[in-house]
Amino acid sequence: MVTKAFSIEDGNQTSSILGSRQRKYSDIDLTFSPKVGGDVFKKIDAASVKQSVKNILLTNNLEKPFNPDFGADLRGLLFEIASDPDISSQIEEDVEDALRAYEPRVTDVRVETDVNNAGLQNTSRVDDNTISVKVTYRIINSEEKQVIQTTLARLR
Amino acid sequence: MATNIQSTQLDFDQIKNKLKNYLSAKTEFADYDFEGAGLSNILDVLAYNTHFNALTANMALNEAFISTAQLRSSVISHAEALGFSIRSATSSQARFTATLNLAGVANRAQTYVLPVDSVFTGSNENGSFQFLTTQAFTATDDGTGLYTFVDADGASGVTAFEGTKITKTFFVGQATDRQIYIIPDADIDTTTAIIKVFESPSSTVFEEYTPLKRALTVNAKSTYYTLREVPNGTFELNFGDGVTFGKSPEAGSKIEVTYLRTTGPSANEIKSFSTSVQYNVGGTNFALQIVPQANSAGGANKQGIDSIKDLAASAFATQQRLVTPEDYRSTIAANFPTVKDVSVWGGEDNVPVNYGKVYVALDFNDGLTNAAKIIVKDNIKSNFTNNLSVMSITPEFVDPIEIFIDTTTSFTFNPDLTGSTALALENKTRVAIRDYLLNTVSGFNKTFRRSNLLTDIDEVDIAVLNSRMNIKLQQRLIPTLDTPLNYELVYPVQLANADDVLTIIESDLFQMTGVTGNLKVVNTLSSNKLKIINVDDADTVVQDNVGNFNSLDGTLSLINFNPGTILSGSNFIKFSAVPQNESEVRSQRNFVFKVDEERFTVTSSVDRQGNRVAL
Repeated sequence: MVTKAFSIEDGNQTSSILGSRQRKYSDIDLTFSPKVGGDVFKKIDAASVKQSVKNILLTNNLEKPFNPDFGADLRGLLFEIASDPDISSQIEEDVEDALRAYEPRVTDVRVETDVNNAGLQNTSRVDDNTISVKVTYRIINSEEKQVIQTTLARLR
Repeated sequence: MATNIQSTQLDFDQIKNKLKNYLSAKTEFADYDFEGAGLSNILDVLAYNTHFNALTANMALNEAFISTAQLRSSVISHAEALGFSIRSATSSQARFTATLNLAGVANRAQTYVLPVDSVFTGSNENGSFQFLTTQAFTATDDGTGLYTFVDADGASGVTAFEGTKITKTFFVGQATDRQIYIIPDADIDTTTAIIKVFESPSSTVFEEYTPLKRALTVNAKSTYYTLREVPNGTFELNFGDGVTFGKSPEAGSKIEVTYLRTTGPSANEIKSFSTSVQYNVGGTNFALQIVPQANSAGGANKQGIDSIKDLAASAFATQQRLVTPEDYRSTIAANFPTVKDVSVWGGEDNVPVNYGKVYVALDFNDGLTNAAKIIVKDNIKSNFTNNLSVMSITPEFVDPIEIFIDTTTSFTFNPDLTGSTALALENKTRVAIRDYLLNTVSGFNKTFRRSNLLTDIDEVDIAVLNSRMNIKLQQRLIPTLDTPLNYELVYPVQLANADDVLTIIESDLFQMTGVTGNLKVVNTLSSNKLKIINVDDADTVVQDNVGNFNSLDGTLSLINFNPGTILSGSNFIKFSAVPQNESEVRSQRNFVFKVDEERFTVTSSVDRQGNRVAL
């Protein structure tokens, strides 16, 4: 086994040494919760990617300035459910397309929807205009699977 | 703390990229490149804010200069600072011959009056419109019981203006307050406004105020007003300060404003009118008979932004004086909406040279009567040139000479490159010719350039391979029929020299009394002499010398020319002449280019360049 060490002059003799470059995903935490020192928290690595995926799911088209196609546009589909039996497959396709276009850090995306919420939450609420979406994905260069589940319902 | 963020860009994406560049040099966050990241959302907000501020600053700066301002309110504000008064909408005018026939009616009066605000109604495709008289007209018995109405100056005819008469009344408040009177109406024809100031609300004695722009001198007693457009498009009435800049209505007095609210150009081109005006004589009503002298004309919208930008600077340069030709042009164009185009040149540029004169040619809007044209010319003389021009310089009005450009165009095209038929391409070519002549050449002081037009034709369709064009200059002679008279036509440029193959001069078809067949005037080949030939009789010569043309002067003289009937049914005969230089023709002085779509001859031929014959 090979070990590596810095010189004393470099002052880091005891720290762990990595042989390859490591890049951390780091994002600002959109909850803006303050740390004790007054700074905001960061989202790191998987949490950062998860926040990004969630952002994409919860953003409608035309919401992002000068980028009208950004977002999965789930909320825009809320009122299509009752009249369109194929809405589930359309949602799955839209979410996959959005993640493929705007989140290059995820792969193996699988989307499950249940407009009746029968499978995911075991309730049937087709007339409540509610969508439950479960997205399973893997972050590239890692084996860890991530799951995001969100339910969209109209506010009033 | 100094940062290296560069925020000089206006474009959102560029601003956002600058922010990303900044973050890329920092270690705190790495996800700025992913559109879904929270940091990207924050960058969106920052970039949008910067973009918005930059755009606002840019627009504000643009609005600060008259040449770049886009908002009408900004342009008006700048123009006012230059002392330029904005033209309001103007009413369409109709002029009638109005008569009352009381032949054989007992006890008829010697004179009858057509009062102010008499109503006439006419309609066109835009709807029905009401026209009102703004002055009284009188008619006197001609001895047979026929009354013809004339204006106060004795000129025959009745003029009525389109619009609805509106009256606004204001009471003047305390003398310590300087009042501005708001008239919330965007469609005022300010030229019809009458401002009367009564001493008290119940008084019948009034003083009539006049527009400040007509003022020659202003003192504390001058009764002038200004009626100016304000940013919301409506108008404000203002008076002098009562000290040095004109009289101010006193506290307790009443101001009465009457004006016409007009629909502008919508009421133009009305051909027939009716009226319910009647005169009761001996218990019987007799209707007023009216015959329009021409279609209604002269209605116009408020002066447009482009026109204000164009003229305000020129008007400022004139300083209310008529010195240079440009002064005349800007002053006339700004004050007379019925004048479409103006050409002004000094006597030193005239042919023949005539020092001490300035020549003015006016191209009026279509449909304006001769009487209305004369009124405009008189107005220009009495209100402007007499007061504002340099002493010893006399203005002379010259009628414009209309020159039409006849084009004969041929082009080849490859049908494999287009789905259009030959006929469709020929029609597109006609449209291209018309657009070029209307947009680029039509008017005074313009230059026709054949190569530019051919470039347009080549771009009509990708299938057009090449094109060529011959041009002629057309003048229209209005002859007195069946009367031998001499006429002279003048062209703006030198004409081609007589040729042994090409006919230089050619007229429309006409007939002469006593001669069977259709005739036209042409020049004898290789000669400047003009002759009349019979096109129905193998071009036999009917009259071998009816005048000549002078290539150098560009003139055409007809001697004892005696047509009897004009075949086109018009009152004019077209005379086309080949110019010396067909590539470029300029209209100078009083020559004005017009468009005659009947004289666009276009032919096409097929050239299948890709075809090969297999041997």
